[in-house]
Amino acid sequence: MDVVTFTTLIAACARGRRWQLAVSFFGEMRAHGVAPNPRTFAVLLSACERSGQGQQALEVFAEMQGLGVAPNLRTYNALLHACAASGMRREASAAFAAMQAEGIAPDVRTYNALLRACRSRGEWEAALALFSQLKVCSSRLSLSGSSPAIHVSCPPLACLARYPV
Amino acid sequence: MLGTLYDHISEETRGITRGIECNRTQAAPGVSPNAITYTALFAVLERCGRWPLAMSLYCEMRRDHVGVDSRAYRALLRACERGGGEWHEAVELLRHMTHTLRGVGGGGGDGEMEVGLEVGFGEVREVQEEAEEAVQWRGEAAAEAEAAIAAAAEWGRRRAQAAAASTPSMMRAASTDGADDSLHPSAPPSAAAAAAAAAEVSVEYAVRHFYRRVFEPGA
Repeated sequence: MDVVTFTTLIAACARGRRWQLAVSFFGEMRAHGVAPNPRTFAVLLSACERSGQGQQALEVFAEMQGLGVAPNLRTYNALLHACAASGMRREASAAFAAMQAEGIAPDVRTYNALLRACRSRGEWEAALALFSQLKVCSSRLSLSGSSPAIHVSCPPLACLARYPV
Repeated sequence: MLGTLYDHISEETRGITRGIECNRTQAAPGVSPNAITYTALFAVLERCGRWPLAMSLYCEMRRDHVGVDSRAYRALLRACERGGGEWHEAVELLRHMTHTLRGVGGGGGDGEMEVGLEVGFGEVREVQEEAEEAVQWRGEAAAEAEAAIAAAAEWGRRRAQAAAASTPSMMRAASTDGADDSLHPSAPPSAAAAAAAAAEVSVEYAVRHFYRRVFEPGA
């Protein structure tokens, strides 16, 4: 029983939305003296997300920091998604700020989690601001030429002309 | 485009978000919005009743060739539905959707997601029947409903084609049917892709919900 075994076990619990089982396996892992890695925490946080246990996710994250495991992009994204799933916007913002303070560059999943978090209190303006920011990041790439997307032909949608892009 | 979007944001919020989040953001170049991003946005806008903005974003999504999946459509339809009133546009959007969610489009591309047809034949027929009934007692909606019924029928037909194409023997039959070659997916979907499409969240809920809203406002 090594770290990979336990992590896979916890990942399976996450997929099955059994966060309590996931946490108990984590406890067993610790009892066996197996040191968890960032991936273990990412799947544990994902178990919390899928079961809507935002508060539990924060505790898991605190435990991770207590154990001296350095969070990476993946663990932060898992935490953000857990917060978003529970409508914990404030906590998500705090986690995002912490992430940036550590110099971890966000990716599209990070933004998706933050956008999800905006829904609980209907913060559409904040959501649009985040989206604009993401668009700015993506436009930096488009100059260097992205892979050509495959077009799906579609009939003109007349009513859409009324909505300025 | 960003300017127009940004116009919707109040000066106050702009200041707040700049202070809290945006200015310190240093996302790697190449990080760009995907279908999940748009779905999340549609969900936020649905909650706030800002469906015209959602439609704008849908235009942008199409223009930037971000693959639209059934979840995104579901979120967008919900936003239109919650907005209320503008059902003409929702009907048009529905027609657009039935056209887009055909076969398996693209594949392998970064921004392009595989889109599949999720609605079973029986469910399409149910929607049709529902709409046909509605037409009888609501003349006002007749033209739109007919078009939507036609779209639903087309949708069902394409689903059958996609299913046929996933089995090798029937694939030949489908490809020799060259009458509307342009409507075929560029590549026949593999069995795995078809299974993935089937596993995806069904848009059936949105369609049925939408019809109820349009044709039975009192219900």
